[in-house]
Amino acid sequence: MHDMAIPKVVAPWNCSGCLNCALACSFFNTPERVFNPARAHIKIHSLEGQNQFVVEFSNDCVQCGLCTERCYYGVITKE
Amino acid sequence: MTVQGGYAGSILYVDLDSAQINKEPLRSELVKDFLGGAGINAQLAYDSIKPVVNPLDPGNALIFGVGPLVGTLIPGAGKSCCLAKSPISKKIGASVTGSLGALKFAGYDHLVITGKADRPVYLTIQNDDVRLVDARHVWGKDTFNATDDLWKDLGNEFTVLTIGPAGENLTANASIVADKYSCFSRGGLGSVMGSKNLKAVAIHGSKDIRVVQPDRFTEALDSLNSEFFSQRLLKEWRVYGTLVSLQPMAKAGLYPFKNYQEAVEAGEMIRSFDVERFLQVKAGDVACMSCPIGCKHRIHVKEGKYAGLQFTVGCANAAMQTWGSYCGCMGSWDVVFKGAELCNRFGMDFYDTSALVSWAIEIYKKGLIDNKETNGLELDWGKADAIQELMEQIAYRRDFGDTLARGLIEAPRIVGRGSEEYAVHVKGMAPPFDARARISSESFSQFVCSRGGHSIGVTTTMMPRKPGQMRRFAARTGLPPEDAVERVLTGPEEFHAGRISRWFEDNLVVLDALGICQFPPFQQVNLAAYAELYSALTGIEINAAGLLQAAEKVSYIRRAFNIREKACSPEEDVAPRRFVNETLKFGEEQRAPLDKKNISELVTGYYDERGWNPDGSIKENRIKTLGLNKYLGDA
Repeated sequence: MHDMAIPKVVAPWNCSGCLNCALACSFFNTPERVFNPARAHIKIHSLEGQNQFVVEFSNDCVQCGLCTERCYYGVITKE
Repeated sequence: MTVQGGYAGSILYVDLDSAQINKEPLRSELVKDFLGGAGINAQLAYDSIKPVVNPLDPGNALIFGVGPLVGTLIPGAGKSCCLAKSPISKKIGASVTGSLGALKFAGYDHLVITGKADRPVYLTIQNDDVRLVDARHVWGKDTFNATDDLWKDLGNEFTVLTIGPAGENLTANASIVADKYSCFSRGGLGSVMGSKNLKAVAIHGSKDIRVVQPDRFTEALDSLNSEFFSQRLLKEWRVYGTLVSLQPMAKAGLYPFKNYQEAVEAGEMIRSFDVERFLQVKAGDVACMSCPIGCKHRIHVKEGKYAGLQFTVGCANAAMQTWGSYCGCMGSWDVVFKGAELCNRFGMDFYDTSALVSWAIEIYKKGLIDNKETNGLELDWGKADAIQELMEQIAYRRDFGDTLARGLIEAPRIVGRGSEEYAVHVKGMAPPFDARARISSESFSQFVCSRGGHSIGVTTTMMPRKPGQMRRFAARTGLPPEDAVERVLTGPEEFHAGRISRWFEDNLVVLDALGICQFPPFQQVNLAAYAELYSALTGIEINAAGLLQAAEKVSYIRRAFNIREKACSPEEDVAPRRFVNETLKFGEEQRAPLDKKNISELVTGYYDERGWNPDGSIKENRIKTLGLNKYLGDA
């Protein structure tokens, strides 16, 4: 059965900036299976002047949820 | 053959004398021999740094490298390496940090900077667009303000490496700070950058890292993850970071007090730096690229004298040791973190700076200098205001700070009056571990490390082990290899500190070359797992023995570099005077000074395990066997 749960940002303040979510997204969703955060459907931006981060899904997110399996900080989840 | 996966495939050369920027392919023979990261950095140094050059002359090179595993989903694969001839040790100066993965995504495995700009500049790298930009508007600013300014100029998606006033003013203890927290700390690399009139390097990339065999890679990654995440203490590493070691290190007497005059009594250390109070100033976790642990911390002090202090600290244990126990500042996390923040703002190494400050306090207290020499500054243990003022004096080379800025060898020479006896260093670098507390690979290897007085790393000998445990570790990790076990795992603690240091050093060189963090959870992974991931990622087949042989080649190149600099001999591989002349008071215990003969035997054992001659020179036949003649023709 197709899993209808969608990935969601639940605790952005926990983001450590590790980029595992973006690395996973690019690797599992690019046809060539490459690592490249610039091609990920989840974007991590630094807050101005700090090592704190904003986490956003882009409009073309395919909602596979693989990023949530690689988030070790409880920032994103699939519900 | 060109590299296909894992590697970006290029080396970027920037010559500041001519403002020439060149991109060259990463030669496959370098990959085959030295893997990448710290490994290829060593060969690039041998090739690019003019022999016997003054480290602050344009002929020195500042070299950065990111290993082939960096920028992938492999846990801990975020480490990048920097290397130059050190202005402190006059040898290989190398340091590692977790914030340079952007270089790979910009399309480069290594960056080699030579020469000296005729005015302050910074370097921007955005994929193929590489420029030198006028930096006069940020020259003179501390690392935090300079980074903020460059983020405003360029966008905060850039990784910014910058020096502070210490690097600009060529202090011996200067560091390079990435994104305001992650530092190439040791070896004075910041002053090499300053000597080149290079204020910063800003990098952003959007290129692909290819995977040659994605299915095999995924399978190997799943296998490694199931092993990695089954380890104990991963949660504690997250919450407390390196402070997870506070209790065992305190009980082992590993927190030097007041310039290594004593070790802090265990109970006092644990009470003074209560980890639950640490959590009151911790505001969040910060990780290097690809790290599931996140051992770094966002700090936010909300009350008291330093209310409003906010910054990110990398190694909280080092901050506590240096700005706490070394300087006699016990009991206040706020003081520790204010010291750490200032040190990062000025762009200085925690260990060398605090060793200089605590040496200054000790000789002041002993009456060897007075307040005329410190321009009225009254120095005392635990006096945080004066300590912070002295840090600033070092960074800006004012007053007595100008003497201290010359480092742990030169400053005592200038002061004289017997003050040399109290300067604790190995080849000019402050050693983090006091070997009088216990001889381990950590404390011993500081005397033979290719870059000066720093441990090769924290390994399984850090704490005393139960009988048989070292052999169980060896069976799990493959270190030492089976044919070396009987020779290496001997003695009352079931290891020979000299011999085992060779194998642990090689293991850590492999991790630095691949781009994997050295922290214990990553070291506990058998090298065979990393070899399988490397093979799938790059398409270049290798096994654990192949990885270790590459590390051996790196050790030869480093040794040859240091021999070429005429900076290598058994007479140099010795412990600081205080460690061999004075008893260490640790609570009620008195630990004996180091026995010079015993240390000398351990040094000889280390050389022998490496296959070097008893005088520390390297053997010509081994150079040939390893195929290094083509690099070391003039050695």
